[in-house]
Amino acid sequence: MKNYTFNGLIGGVLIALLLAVAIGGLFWTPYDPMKLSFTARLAAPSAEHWLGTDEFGRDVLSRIIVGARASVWIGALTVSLAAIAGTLIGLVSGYARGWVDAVIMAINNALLAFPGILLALGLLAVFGANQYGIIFALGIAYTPSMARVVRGAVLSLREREFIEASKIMGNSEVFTMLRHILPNCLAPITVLSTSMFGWAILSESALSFLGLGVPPPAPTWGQHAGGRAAIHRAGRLARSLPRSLHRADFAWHQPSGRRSTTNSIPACEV
Amino acid sequence: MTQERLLSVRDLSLEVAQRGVEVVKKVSFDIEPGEIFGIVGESGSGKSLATRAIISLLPPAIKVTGGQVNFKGRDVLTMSEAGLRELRGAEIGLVFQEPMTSLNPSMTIGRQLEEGLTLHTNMPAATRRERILAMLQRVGIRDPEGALSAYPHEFSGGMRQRIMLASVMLLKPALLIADEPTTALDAVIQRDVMELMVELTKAEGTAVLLISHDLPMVARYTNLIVVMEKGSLVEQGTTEQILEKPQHPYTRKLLSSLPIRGEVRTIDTVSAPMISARNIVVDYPGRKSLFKKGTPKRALHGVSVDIHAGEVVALVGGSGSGKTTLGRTIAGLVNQSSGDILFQGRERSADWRDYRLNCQMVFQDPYSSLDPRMTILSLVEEALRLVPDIDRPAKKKRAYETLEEVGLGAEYALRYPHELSGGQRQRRDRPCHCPAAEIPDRRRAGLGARRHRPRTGLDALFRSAEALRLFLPVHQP
Amino acid sequence: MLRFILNRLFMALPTVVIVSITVFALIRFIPGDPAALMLGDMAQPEQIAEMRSELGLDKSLPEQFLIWGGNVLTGDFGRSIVSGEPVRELVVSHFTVSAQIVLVVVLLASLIAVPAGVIAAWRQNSLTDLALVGTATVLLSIPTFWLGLLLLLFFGLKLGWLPVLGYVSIGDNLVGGLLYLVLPVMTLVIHEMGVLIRMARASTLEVLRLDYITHARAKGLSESAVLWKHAFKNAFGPTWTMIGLILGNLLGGIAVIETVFTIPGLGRLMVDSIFQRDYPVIQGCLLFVALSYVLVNLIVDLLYPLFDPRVVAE
Repeated sequence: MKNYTFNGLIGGVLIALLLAVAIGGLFWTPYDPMKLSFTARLAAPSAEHWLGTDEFGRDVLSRIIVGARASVWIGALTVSLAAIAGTLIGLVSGYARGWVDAVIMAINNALLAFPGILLALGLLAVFGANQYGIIFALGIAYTPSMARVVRGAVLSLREREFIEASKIMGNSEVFTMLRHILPNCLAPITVLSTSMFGWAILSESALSFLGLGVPPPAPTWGQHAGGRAAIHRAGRLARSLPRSLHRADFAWHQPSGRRSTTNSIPACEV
Repeated sequence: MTQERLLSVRDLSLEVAQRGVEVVKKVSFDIEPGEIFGIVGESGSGKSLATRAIISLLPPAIKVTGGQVNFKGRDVLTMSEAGLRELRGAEIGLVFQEPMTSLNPSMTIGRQLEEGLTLHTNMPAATRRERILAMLQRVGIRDPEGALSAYPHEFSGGMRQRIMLASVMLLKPALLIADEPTTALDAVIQRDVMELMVELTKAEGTAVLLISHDLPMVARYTNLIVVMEKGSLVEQGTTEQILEKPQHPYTRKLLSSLPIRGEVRTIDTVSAPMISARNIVVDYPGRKSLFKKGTPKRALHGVSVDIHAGEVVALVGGSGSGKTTLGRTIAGLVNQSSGDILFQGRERSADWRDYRLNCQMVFQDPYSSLDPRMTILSLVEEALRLVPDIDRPAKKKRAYETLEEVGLGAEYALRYPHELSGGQRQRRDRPCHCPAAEIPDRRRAGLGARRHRPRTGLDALFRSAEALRLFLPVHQP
Repeated sequence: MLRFILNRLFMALPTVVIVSITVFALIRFIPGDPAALMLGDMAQPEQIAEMRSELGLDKSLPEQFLIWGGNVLTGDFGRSIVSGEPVRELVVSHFTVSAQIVLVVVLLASLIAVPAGVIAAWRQNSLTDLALVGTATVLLSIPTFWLGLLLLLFFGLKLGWLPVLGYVSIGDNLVGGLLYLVLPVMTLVIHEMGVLIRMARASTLEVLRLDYITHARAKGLSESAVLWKHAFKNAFGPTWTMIGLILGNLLGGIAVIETVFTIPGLGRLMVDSIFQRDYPVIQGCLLFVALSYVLVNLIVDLLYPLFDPRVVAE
């Protein structure tokens, strides 16, 4: 128990830091993240450029700060999309039961049969490789997991006595659903959402790394690590940048802590 | 008098290692060979932990802080792990409360039974098999040969407990520790299993340490009883002494939980019964699968029951007898396949809204019958939601009044269900306040299913472990 | 038992059908006319119309699906728009490369991580446990491409022990081929271990609390017998399912690692095809991976009763 809150604290601090960097980047960065400088290409970290510069002489620290914003933004929108759509589908499915449930779940399970990143790749081909394409692709790819978790929660809640108690009081099914079932589903939804946020940031970076993400020159974390050629020229890039990314995901793993609860559904991370 | 003492526990103290809470305080008792010895106390009284210490199988968080445990003259607490392993199973056997989890689900019965024999004896395989079959036969397993290759989930709870007994008694231990061995079983099966245990141990000369919260049950089989409360031993003596002249108030309290007949009510049987169920038949659809059409299972075969205003009707029966189904059908949670339910002489479907307002149910487990995300006040208020002609302030006032009436002051109103019982984790205390809060207006009729006697303003009910009661509180509209 | 197997097989059927429909629909939703795309910018309208009828694009969607489905059933996945090679051969040859890596990764990761998780649970809250769980959490959060790059930098560039660029098939040169596989396999094993350790630990903890474990101890069994004979088998079920999921996910997600290590696997083929808008190949890859995922999970399901005989009865 003690351990758990300690982890939660670390996670909370890291998340706060991530958000602070993302929001702070709106107002101030050490340098213009897009400004090219051919005299200072691939510079080593120095007092001027704390984390050095990339292959076009852009300030790495500034690009991380601005990249944080894109990552948080993409993560948040992806998770919102998956959480809203998944919750709706899960509620309807668990609530209706019978053949409606059977059909929805058959489709849902078939979508779960695609590894998350693969479905996202396929969807990216449809939506196009840009920021919103990624959000839609990942959002849709994560929706089946959310729907399944919510449906499971609804089904088990339905068996609880307070749902029967509500029925005996004469409450309608819709009222019972919104007043008693939905609020009690929030815990699993939150746990899964926090995990998904981490996956989304990682997946975005992986897709950008593959060249299918946010098109350059806009800075995102995945792109930063990208460019195999650049890495061979300056390993320092690889060493400094994704580390922040790793930290961000680490931060999100902490509060959601019990990953085992979400492990029953296929992990969508890369 | 020269006979060697089997087990002697002296000043045994245990505590939760990290928090330093004493859970067992200086407990001493002796057990002679072949005798049946009872330890009685509520859950949380430390009785299970004290007995686990006898074979050094305490959970990692519990540490022994003092005392001695002597088994056949050897000090168990200072024994090496290897020495303990020789003792466990061969000399001291352990039977658990929950037959559903005490057998390994992924191992066949045969292999589980054989394990102990292989470990502690040098019998050849054929002899082992013979012994196991004979033992299974003795505990009443119908097809011992088949049982060998079967898995635990293929047996009912009572059968599993018999298998468990067989597993432990195969090695003819000198002491059998039975931790609430029948609590999870139905009343009828409970008795069979207890009788079997007594008979088997008597035949082998095994002493039994019987642990239970159920004093009357323990008293039926034991010669000596100790009573534990909150980690301390409060009373010990022969069974007669404890039953006839209990010294400690706690023992008296345990004894007074035996059924006593309350005052008799006068019931108006002239007017139409409050609820009248006629020839209720309930079928549950059978499980469908791809290859089999579900065959419906009949749970109630035409049951009729009348309940008059103010009357308390008890339904008693083993699990699976359909008592819960009848209650749920009357409450409207289960639809009957045929039969009628009349409310005040009228078909209840004539005015469902009115019926809903007048027929309420108290659930068995208040923890799962209250929405964990709502405060007590809003839970009580919600019940008034569909009552016509009542505005918000009036609702609030009524809710507070009701809470007051069931013995929950205004200070409880804004708490959540899990905060209610505070430190008291004792099960029997739970139903006292919680379900009461579920009935916001006692002038309405209620339908209750409960296991324990409430101690608050609600009407006293019969007490019987497996009974489900239908009751209508005294006041009527 | 037979009913259990048939049941599971039948349950997989609708999944296969819906997966196929999804793959088909996905490609049809891609904006743009495949026929126009195939012929390039200079194509005349008549040529495009001709191409459309040749490809069957002038028929209704359900018809198109049936034709496509029929072709797939006979093993005809179409031809690549870019290279003109049959899709089936492209997919299968790239798949063998990916499958080799994935299978080795899953095997190695399970062999290391599962015992580690069980031991962590057995010694809950000890230093060993904390170290293992801490490591697992860190491993979980490392993006594979970063880990891959670091390993590449260290073993490839700094120490120069292992080749950095390129790929040699094991079939052509056993030792050389293996050398190329060391780094990608190591990267993925390290990454997947995190999930598995946590999973194995959690499910073992759950089992160790149960009465039958105490019962086993009360019989006088040694700790190792209790742990491996009684606890392990019961705790392995959820981990087993997880292994199946990881296997499937790796098949789908291996593109990243193949890019880092320039391995001509299925993931790389798919990404390249997306760049080149080579729809028949994208379709083929998607279908192939999704169906192998279904197959892997089916096998996992069918073997599950080995760890928990109760599922057969349900």
